[in-house]
Amino acid sequence: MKSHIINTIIRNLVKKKFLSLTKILGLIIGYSIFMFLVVKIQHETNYDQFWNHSESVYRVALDLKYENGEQVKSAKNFHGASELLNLELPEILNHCNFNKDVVTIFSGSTQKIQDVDFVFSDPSFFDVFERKIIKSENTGVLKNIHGVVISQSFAHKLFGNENPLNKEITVNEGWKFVVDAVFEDIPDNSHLKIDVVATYKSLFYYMRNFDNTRQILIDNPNFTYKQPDPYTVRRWRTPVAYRPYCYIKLKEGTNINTVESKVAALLTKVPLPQNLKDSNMAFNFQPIKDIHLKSNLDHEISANGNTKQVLFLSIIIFVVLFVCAINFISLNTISNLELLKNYAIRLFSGATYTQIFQLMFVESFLINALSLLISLPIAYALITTQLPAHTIDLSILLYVVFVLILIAFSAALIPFLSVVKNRFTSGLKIVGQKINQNWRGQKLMVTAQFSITIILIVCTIGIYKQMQFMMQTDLGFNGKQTLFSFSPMTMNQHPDIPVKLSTFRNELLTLKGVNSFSTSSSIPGQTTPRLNNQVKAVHTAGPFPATFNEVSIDDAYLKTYNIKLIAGENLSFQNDWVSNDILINQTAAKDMGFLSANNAIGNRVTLGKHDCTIRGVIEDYHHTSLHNAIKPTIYAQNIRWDHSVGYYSFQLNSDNVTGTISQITQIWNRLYPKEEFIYNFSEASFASQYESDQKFNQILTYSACLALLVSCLGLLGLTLFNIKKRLKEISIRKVSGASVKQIIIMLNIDFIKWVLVAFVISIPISWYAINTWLEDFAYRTSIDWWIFGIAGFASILIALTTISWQSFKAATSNPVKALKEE
Amino acid sequence: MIKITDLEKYYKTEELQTIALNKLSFDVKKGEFVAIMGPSGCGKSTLLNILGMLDDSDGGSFIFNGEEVIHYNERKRANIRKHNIGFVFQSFNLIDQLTVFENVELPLIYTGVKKAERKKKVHEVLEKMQIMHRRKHFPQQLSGGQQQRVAVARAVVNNPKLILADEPTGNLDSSNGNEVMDLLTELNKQGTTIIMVTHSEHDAKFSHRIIRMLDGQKVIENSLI
Repeated sequence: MKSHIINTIIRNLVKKKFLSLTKILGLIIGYSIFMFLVVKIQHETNYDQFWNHSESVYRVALDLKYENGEQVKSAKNFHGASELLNLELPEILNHCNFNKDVVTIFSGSTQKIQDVDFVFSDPSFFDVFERKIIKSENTGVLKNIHGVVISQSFAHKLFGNENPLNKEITVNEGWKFVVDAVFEDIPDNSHLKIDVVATYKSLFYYMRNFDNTRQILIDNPNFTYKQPDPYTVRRWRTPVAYRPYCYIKLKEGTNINTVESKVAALLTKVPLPQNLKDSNMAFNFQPIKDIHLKSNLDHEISANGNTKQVLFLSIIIFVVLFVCAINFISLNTISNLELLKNYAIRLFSGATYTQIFQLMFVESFLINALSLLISLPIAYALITTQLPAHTIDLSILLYVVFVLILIAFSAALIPFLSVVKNRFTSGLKIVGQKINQNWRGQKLMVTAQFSITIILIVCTIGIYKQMQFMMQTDLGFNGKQTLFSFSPMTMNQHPDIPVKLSTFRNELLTLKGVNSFSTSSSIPGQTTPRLNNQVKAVHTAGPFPATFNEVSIDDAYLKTYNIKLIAGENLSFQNDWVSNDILINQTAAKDMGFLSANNAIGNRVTLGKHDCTIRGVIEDYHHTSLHNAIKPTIYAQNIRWDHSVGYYSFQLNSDNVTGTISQITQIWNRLYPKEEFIYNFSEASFASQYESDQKFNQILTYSACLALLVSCLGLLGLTLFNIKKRLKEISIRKVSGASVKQIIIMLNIDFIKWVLVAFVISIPISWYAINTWLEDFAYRTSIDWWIFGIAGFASILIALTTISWQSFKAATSNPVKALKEE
Repeated sequence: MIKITDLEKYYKTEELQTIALNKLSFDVKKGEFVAIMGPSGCGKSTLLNILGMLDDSDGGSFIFNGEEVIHYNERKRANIRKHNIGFVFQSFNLIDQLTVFENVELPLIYTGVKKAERKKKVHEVLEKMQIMHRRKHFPQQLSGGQQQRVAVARAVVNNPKLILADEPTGNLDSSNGNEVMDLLTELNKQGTTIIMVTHSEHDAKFSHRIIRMLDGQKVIENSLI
């Protein structure tokens, strides 16, 4: 019986080669996209679920609401926050704070790794974030003031296969640490990317005892580290740049609401500074598992994912799979229609309906299984273009098998119910006479397939239009021919900064190829980590009702990035790179209450401890992507970058860019001999903010094209079947005088009208979809009617091309032959 | 073996009702060879459908081997059908994708016969029909006469008590037609009851009895023995 079924199935497949190929190809596309996108979504939605007791770990984020309506929602919090909770609440098992920095690490005389994620934290770091640890025998984990703990992969990067324990590393060419322990890597799907962990105690020791001029650490046996105390005001007044990320771990069985309900009372026990007292301060407890997808606060530790994108990906999975499944079901139904006679014969030979269904199901199942097998390596290749191979969770196979059985079962059941089951009541007629091969469902299938395809095409064009809009919008600055590099790490907090910087600048400006050079704490396309909600007019009591971004720049910043000054004057060059002059943007002028840009000039505002004069107002420009609205920004002339990274920007003229870059490199190497000159083009860096949008657009474009391909394959299959069924009719019409054109129109119109119906159905749905996607952009393109026009026209044209060749072949065939065969 | 009494069958469309069988009664004894004749549309095929338990009647009685089967459900009828009835059609109705051997094997598969036993039985019947040498061929590689012999082989492989033949020679030339009629006669001699619908007076002469129908009714019955 089994071999008999399989023989029959194989012969059916071979006999109808084209139809079989069409079915299999559609399924391969469906399964490949399904597996690829499911793995992608799994990766996005499984963030931070691998931690032990991940359900008990929360980040304590900060919510400030001022009376003027200004709100600050920050991922960072004050040091005192988690410390207070830990001391006061028995429900808390552990807590830790950490500050993250991106550093360069050196080991030995040659090894050097840049962009290392370095955190300073409490010794309890690994109690909250549990990892397997290989320790040195000499010291414990995070107990040695000169010790660090590094990740396995970083250890391998730095030391290869050598034992990393007790080896020395140097941070930013100054602070030397010893590797005390190695921790098991934090998986990729975590919001935490950490290579090195050291303690706050070490941080304070090195800050106090490191001689920057001589680049040596002075031994200080009298150093005492004051244990953090949340009941002192200093734990609650750290500026945002130095605030840590705070985490707590709850005891088993504790409900976070219990903790949350006690926060307000706890905050009355600590001496909050006045600005916090006025701010209706609250803590936002974020489950660690939700941070990646659901958190979109200021000062996030790294760029997070986006629930909406996951939702869109899920919809794409569903619709592409739906198109492919419909394609298979519909082609399977028509091939079963052609096998009706065989089923009738089997029934007369003693088969039951159950046995007929069994045969149909096994055939459908085997075709699906074959397609799945072929799609496995394709899906693997697709997945590894975007994610590391080890992220593939084999549980995906369970989903795939479930989907496979569902499709195989539907593809057997639908033809069984709609074409087999009801046609045998007339008994012998079925084998004696011509079988009625009409199947109404096929029109429905074509309509559904094309509706989805057109929706995908509209969304693809819509998103493409937004991408173009973002690329072509005048950003208010010009990053063409502009390079940037990080400021030399060795210069952070170094007393020689102004002198060296001046020398560097002077030498650069002698180069023919360099138009201008500027240094700043942020550049277009990079975040502006400093925020200030305490900016006020000099001699007034209250601050302006806004949070201002603060960027440190020099006098050449506007020239380097071609930013327009609309009132007042530019900053002037200062030998020590510092002055009390500032520039503001138009939005800031408005937020400070000036009626016009000119009115702002000469006014004085207090920034921290300094009273500054507004020298000029610049035209608003997009400092970050069009996802974000332009923020009020103050451009101050100082090079105090604190611990954060600053930037050097070089605007070049178009002649001999390569030559100029090599000249800059020579100067850099002479002045900063131990640091490599690594540069990027500003334009490319700005565009990289749209990387995730572009990836999404890519997925959507491929999905839309493949859905269109599958829909056309399905349409082709149905056309072939219908034309074959109507050959006699076509011949009679031809004999009766119909022209080739009339016959082609007759055959085409039958399907095209359903594609038209699909077009009408798809318009409102795709409009809604594209509109929802665009909500994520502060600046967005319009949804024009022609997007729908193009999508509809393209689908109809492609559908017409698909069926016309077959119609033409049928219309030009010899009618005598067809009639004779009948 | 078969006794039908006042058998009725109507075909209804939205506008009219056509009577296919109008209170038809006759019986067929075990081992008989009965030919049913009549013009197109007289109800021959409808009658064969009901006798083959492939279609319901709208009234009357149908006793098969002493059992009233008229109200049996599909499962029961399928069971009686596969153990007792073989079909031979004008258009052979072989499955193109199966070889001669597999086509003949089909009824044995559905009655649950073991593989070795199936092989033996199929070989026996193919030998008998003199098409053993063609067992690995596909139907489209055979002549019309050979195809009908395969169809007959399939109809008899299960040793049915009754063979229903619907114009078995309709698609054959006279010599192939005669061969098939000889086969049926031979089977009948070995005890199989045969009911054959035919337009051919020549073929009808091979039977014991001819029932002539018109408008769903029996008009005359001629005994040929």
